[in-house]
Amino acid sequence: MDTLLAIPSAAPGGLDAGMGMHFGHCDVFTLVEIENNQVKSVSTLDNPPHAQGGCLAPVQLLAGKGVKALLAGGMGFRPLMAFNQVGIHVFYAGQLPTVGEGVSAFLNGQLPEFSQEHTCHGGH
Amino acid sequence: MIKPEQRILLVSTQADTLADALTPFLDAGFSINHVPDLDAALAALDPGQPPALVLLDASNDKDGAALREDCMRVLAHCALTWVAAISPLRSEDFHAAMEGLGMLPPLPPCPTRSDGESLLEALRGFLPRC
Repeated sequence: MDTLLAIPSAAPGGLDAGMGMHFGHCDVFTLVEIENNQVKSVSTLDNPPHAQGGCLAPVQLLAGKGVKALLAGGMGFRPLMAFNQVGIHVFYAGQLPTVGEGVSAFLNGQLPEFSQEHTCHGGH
Repeated sequence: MIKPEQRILLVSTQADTLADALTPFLDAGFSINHVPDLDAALAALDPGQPPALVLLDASNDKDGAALREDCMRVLAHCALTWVAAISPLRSEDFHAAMEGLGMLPPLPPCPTRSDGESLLEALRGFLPRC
């Protein structure tokens, strides 16, 4: 599997960082390039400021970077719909404490698709 | 990435009462497409060419439940547009009822030109070129 994966992360990001459970308000996104089902490279991307109604900013940011999959613990209905509509698959990883563990679970096919039942009412 | 057009999709059965609030948008170069109900709105909503704003008139929705459902139908069809509502709910009640939907601040029933200017300003924060 080759893809570019984004994970909302606590600062400073990277595989050892904590997962950013509130998608829209995370410190940074960790970007993980996957090639042949292995981690090829890891980088970070600052999360833009989040204002009321601004859920699309990170969607546009990540889509513009070529991200194809996202791991998240919490997200509102609107950004979930927007990610789906721009072709970014979202997976639920709310039970995992670190980015690296989330990436491992993703590579092992252990993460469920993030569904409407996972969406939060705000605080995303 | 799809960019919203400088256009409003207004969903209301009483558009004549909204003229004052919409004037700032017309002055800013927006066009307005008016439909009477949500089914007509969804039929008019092209995800490939989304309007900048879908404005839902929920003046008679006292608890926000129907508005939330309508907003979710809009977003499930096209999430790359911004959504605002005309609602009688108090600010905190509106926010609680609509959390997670990323809506812009609401307009009160019978909104004024000033209310429209505030909404345009909020939208401009996300569409810096408009």
